[in-house]
Order: sequence, then C-alpha cells, then structure tokens
Amino acid sequence: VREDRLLIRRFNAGDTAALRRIYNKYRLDLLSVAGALLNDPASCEDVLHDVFVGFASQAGRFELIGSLKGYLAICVANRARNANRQDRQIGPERLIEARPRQSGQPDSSQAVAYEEQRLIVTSALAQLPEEQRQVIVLHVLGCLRFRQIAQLIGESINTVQSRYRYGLRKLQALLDGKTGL
Amino acid sequence: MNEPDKIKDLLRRTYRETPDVSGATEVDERILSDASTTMKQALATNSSRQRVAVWRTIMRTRTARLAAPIAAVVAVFVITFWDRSAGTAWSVEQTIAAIKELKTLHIKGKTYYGSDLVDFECWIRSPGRESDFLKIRYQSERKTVVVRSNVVYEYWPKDKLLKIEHGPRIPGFEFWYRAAQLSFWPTGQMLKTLKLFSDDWKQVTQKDPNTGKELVLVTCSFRPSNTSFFFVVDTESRLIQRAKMWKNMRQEGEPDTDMQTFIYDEEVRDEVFEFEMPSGVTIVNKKAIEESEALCDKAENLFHKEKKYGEAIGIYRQIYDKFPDLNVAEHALMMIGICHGRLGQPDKAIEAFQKATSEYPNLKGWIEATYFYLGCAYMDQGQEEKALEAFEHCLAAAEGVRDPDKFPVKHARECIDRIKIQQQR
Repeated sequence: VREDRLLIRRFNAGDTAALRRIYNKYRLDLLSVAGALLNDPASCEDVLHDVFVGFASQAGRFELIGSLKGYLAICVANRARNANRQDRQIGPERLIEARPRQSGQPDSSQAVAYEEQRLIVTSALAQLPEEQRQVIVLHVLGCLRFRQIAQLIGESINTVQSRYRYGLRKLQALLDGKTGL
Repeated sequence: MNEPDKIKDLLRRTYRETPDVSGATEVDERILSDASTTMKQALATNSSRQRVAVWRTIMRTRTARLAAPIAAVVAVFVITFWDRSAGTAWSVEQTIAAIKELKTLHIKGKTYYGSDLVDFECWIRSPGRESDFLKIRYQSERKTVVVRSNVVYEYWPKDKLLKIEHGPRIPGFEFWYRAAQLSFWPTGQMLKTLKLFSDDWKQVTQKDPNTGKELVLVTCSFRPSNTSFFFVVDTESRLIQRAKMWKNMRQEGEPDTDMQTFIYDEEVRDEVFEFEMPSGVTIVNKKAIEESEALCDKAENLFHKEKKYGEAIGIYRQIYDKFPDLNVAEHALMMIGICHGRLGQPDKAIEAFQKATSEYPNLKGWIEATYFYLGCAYMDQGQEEKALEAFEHCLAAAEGVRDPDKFPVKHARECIDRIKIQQQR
C-alpha cells in the first residue's frame, strides 16, 4: 500500500515510469479479472487498455482512497460489464469459438489443456447472474475483501456475501464433474 | 480442501496461472504508450485548470468563510518559507533546510466574521521532528477550528454546534490536504505550488523609518478567488512580520483578515492542539448532511416536477431551520423566496431574499443569484431603485466568481440596462 501511495504521487507528478510500474504490477491480476468477467475473452486487452487510458487521464488529480488494485479491479469489472451489455448476443456457445488474444502462447499440450479448462470455467461463470459473477471474480481473483467490494459497488456487505455464497454454490453445480473437482 | 476452496483454487489456476506469463508484449507497449500520452495531455490541461478550480471551489463553498482566514494563515506560513527564496542564492534545498528549523507559528490578528470584526489567534505546528502530523488551532469568539491530521473539528460556541469532518473531504480544505500529500508539509513542492497562486506578485524593498531595518513589501492576488494579499517581510530573518488579506483584487478598503503579530518557534503546549468536547454540544454530522440532502431532493421534486410551491416552502423552511450552518441553508432561503414569487406573494419573497442576503452576505458563488432574484421581485413591484441596487449587488458579488456572460451576471446587466432606459423615458 505504501508503495502504491508513492507510485500515485509520482504518477500525479507526471512520472511515466510510475505508470509503467503500476501497469506491470497489476497487469496480470487485472487481465485475470477481465478474463473471468468478459463473455468475450478476446476483449480482455481492450478492457485493460481502456482502464489504463482512463486512469492516466486522471494524472495530476488522482486521489487514492483504499487500495489501488481494488480501484483498478473495479474499473475493469465495470468496463467488462459494459462490454457484456453491448454485446449480449455473445453467449456461452460463442465462447467455444473465441480465443484469448495473447501473443507468444506456446503450442503445447499443456496450453491446450489449459485452454480447454479455461473455456469450461468461463462458460460456467458466464451462466451466473452478473452480480454474483462480479463478486466471485473480485474476491477470488481481484483479492478484494467483501467490505471493499461492498464499498466499491455500493451494496451492503451482507448482500455481497450472499451473492458470493449463492454464486459459488451455483458454480460448483455447473462445474461438477467437468474439471476434476 | 472443501468444495468452495476447490472452486476458488480452480478459478485461480484457470485465470491467474496462465501458461504465457511473458514479459512486455506489443499489446502492453501499445497500452502503455497510449496511457503515457493521455497522462501527459491530462497533466498539461489540468495544471492550469486545477489551481483555478481549487480556488473556485474554496471560495464558492460555505466553508470558505471558515477556510478563508485559515487558508490565508497557512498560506502565510508557507509563503514565509517561499520568501526565503527571494534572495538570488536561493535553492529549494536551502528552504527545506530552513523549514526543518522552524517548528511552530503563532499568529494574532483580526478577521471579519460576517459584518463583525473579531480577534483571532492561530497556532500551527508543522509535521516535523516533534509532530508526526499537521496540527492547527484557529480560535475566535465566533468559531474554533482544530485540525489534527485528517480530522477537523469546527465548533461554533454561540450555537454550541460541532462538526467533525474528514479534512480532505472538506471543500475549503481539500487543497491543503492534497498539497500536504504531494510532499512532506510544507516543502519545496508546496512552495512551487503556492507560487502558482499569485497572478501579480510584486515586491519592493524599503527601510523601516523607525528602526532602519530593511523590509520587503509584497503584494499579490488571485483572480478566481477575488482575493489579494499584502506581506511585510524582515530581510534579516526572512520571516513575515505582518500580513493582510482582502476579498478584492486590489487591496481595497479594510482587509478581511489582518494578521498583526507573528511569533515564530514559540513553545506551544500540546493541549493547544487538543479538542475538548464542550458540554451540551450538538454534533452536526454526516447523517445531518445526508438528511439535509434528502430534504433538498424532496423539495426540488415538489418545486420542479409537482409545482406544489406551498409544500416546497414547508420543506425548504425545515432545511433552513434544521441545518442553518450547512451549504443548503442559503439555497433554501432563496428557494423560499422564489416559491413565494410563484405563489404571487412578492412581499414574502422579498423578505426571504433579504434574509438570505443579510445572513449569508459573504457566500460568494451562492449569494449572487439571490441578489438577482431580489432585484426581479422589486421590479415586479415597480420599485426600480431598489431593484437597481439589488442587481448592482449581484454584479459586485459575482465579480471574479461567476462567468460574466452567464446567469445571473448577464441577466442582471440586462435588467439594469432596461431599468435605466425606462428611467430615461
């Protein structure tokens, strides 16, 4: 947290190295949040692009309240939700065709197995109500506490915990026997 | 591992342990390049706009009446250090070194509270070796303010009202907290920031006819806040001896705040920066603010959508009675006047507008519209001279605060022209 505050100070002073450090520090976490929330995983990097450009536009006046990772994660979640709304036609069936746009991916059996697993899990996540999916992803992949999520999405902590519980139960039923659980 | 844990583990394995955790890719470079460009553009546009916006915010809020003298005092405290930079051999490092030597500042003087001139004292302890956070106590017979890091206590002894707030969220104070966060308070960065405040910094050196000492006299002003300053600096100690602040651009008339005595490095007891909860005090808290906002929404709905002006008056009256010290009170009084106007009760409308202008005369950014509506109410009654006076007040109050080509300044000007043409006929 202290490092984030220092980075934000430098960022507000126009230090591009600080921006790069923030990006590198949270890139993978944010990509994982985006990947799990988007119906179309090919849009992950577009969402990341939009979030960071939006974040950069606040240089000089950005005030960090809470955790930077939490802030960026919720930005990703909001963008992902908007992207999903814009393209409601994309359902689980389209996920089979979609491929994450990631460069340098090794063509190995490990990668193929990973891809299969990812498609199954993403398909299951996509069948959850948007609110439950968001809470699960932000808590498990974004590592945000329920309290932080509640603050960020403007709901009570009890609502957030309920969504998490119900979502997890449903996800468990959807994935039962499909991924070696 | 239980079932929920297995799900969580699966999600992490699926989305976090990607097999292509490569370094920077072309996509990353594109994102960073676009973000960097945006960042530079944002800084370029924000830097000029921000200082204007901050000061405009400060001076438009109700808290400005509290914040203005304190802000002036804190500005003096920091500009004192800035003045140490006036010499040709100045460097930020020298100033920062000098700051470390100075621990406290105690100012005594007079300030206007509404139309009354009252004595005040202010103590500031910078967050140096002996203080781990910024501490300020500002005290007058009308108001006491204690700043302890991010917590601000505002106390009105006459009404026994206390407001406890998170400093950085108080509109009039946010700048000071933001500046303090930018760099260690107050440092070279702060000096640079403050240097941006002034539009017309001028300084002349002359000898004190009584003591023969060399003094530097500084004047400066800042247009968006319609505020000007005057400082007297002792060149030997390089410290400010006296300072004044006006709420006009040219140091005209009586200063709104006259800081007559500066005492440096005085031993200040820790208790000075403590806030003791007075007995029988009413705490105006966040809940009150939320309640006032809810009432405002209700009243706005009655006024704009349902056009039930009588009922709206009742709600606005509640707002004014319950929260006279919140921003919404002046607005509520103005709206009461407008409602009476809509109900064809010009006398009552004028009464409400007059009450607003007499109780909140210095509420820049808010009061101009009330003067405008007061002028309109007088015009409706055919009292042209009084209307003219109200419109002139509107123009005077709006100077440096409101856009001259927008409401209410533009409309007030047009009304004045119309009245003058009628009078010529």
